[in-house]
Amino acid sequence: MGKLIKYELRKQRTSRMVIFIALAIALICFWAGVLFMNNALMGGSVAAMVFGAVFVLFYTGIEGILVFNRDLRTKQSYMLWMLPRSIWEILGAKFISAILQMLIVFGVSCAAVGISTAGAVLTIGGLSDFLRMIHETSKVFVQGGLNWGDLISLAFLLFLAWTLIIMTGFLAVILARTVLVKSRFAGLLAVILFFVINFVIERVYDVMYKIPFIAAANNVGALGWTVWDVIFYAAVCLALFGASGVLAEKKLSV
Amino acid sequence: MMLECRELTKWFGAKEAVAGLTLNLDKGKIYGLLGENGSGKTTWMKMAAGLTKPGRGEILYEGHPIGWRDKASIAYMATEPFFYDFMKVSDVGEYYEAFFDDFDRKKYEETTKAMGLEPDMKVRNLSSGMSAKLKLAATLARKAELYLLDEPLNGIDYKAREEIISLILEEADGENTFVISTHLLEEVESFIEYAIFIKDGHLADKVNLESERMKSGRSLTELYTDIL
Repeated sequence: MGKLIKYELRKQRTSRMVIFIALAIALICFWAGVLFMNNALMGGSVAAMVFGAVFVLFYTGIEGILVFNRDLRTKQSYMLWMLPRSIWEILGAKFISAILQMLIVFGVSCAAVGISTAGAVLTIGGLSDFLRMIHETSKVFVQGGLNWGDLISLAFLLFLAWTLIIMTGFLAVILARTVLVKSRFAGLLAVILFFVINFVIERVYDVMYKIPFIAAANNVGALGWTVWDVIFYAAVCLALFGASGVLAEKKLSV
Repeated sequence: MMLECRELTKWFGAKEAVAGLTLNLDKGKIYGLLGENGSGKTTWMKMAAGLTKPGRGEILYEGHPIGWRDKASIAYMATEPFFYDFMKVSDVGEYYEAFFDDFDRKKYEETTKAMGLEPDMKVRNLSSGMSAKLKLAATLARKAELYLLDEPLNGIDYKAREEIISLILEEADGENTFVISTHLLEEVESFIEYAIFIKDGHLADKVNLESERMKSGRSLTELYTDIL
């Protein structure tokens, strides 16, 4: 599977480079702002980096779905589907490479924001201001009722929600290339299906919380999530992955 | 029997591209797959390569229903360029070596060099002829049991065609099977053993060329005209 992941990541190299170049430009602007004491430039570039970090989080998920669609629609699809690899391995590699792509670009973006902010405080205010910033940030965590457990559970649930988008996208693309392939509007139908599947999942989620013992479940930490949320989204992701694999195995033609 | 196709059918919308095709291929033979444009040759080949699922019927490879594991011993070459845009000639070799245990990297490098393909050439910048040579070099550098070559001589100049035919004949060792789809009857007549004629998705005829020559003296072109 490692080899498949390597080539999947290679397909997304261009977008990765574009994101890194944009990030580098924002960093240059930021340090120019620090150098010339231009608050607007500093603030604007940090805001751009924060916005960019959130944007790439979603974009990498959507990009994984777009690459998958291209792998089924163009002649380059033969490169993937002529390989002696099972559909599960191929889908799994696509999913893992989407995660890696997300972690790489999101991680680098977050690191850039963190290092820039810390660097600016150090440059402008010196070591004492830097230490105070760390202290103030820690206080926000403690007074705001956040702790590491909450943060980890938030990250995990965000990851599950992100996975859900990818798995829904995979299923919508496979449906468009199999049962809907005869339709002239297969692409449009795939997009509609994506939203329909999401809508159905949310309705099932609502119904789940009408069950008394689930509705009575305690929240995990301060974030308002319960263990049933985790179980529900994990089960839905698995079900979507399974449906995509079975459908592709039985019906998919490139 | 290496490959058995039973009542194979494939629809594209209302069009029946392959219509109840029953065809058996023996081990160690070279088959020519002949028919007019749109007769179902490519669709059949893609089904045999495991890329396209039949709507009805079944394909048995060495006695079992064809599956993804069989792709390890089936070398398919599509008629269109299909390598990733970001690849160079050397990357294609690396890719095949990574995924096919039967791939001979040294042979690939020798063949591409002989064909005038440099390792650092970008795949997307190759001419159609060079692209066709690259596909063949990659496919024939595998030691597969079944080679499915869809119009391998398309867009290739006369001299290179001779080289490609020599390559195919070098690979054909009596243990592996070749299916070559083509419209260039005169180019393949000298070395194909069986001609499979496809018409409107049906098997029109399967002819042992040597026996036919002995019996009626008809050339492949004459057979093509008579059958199709």
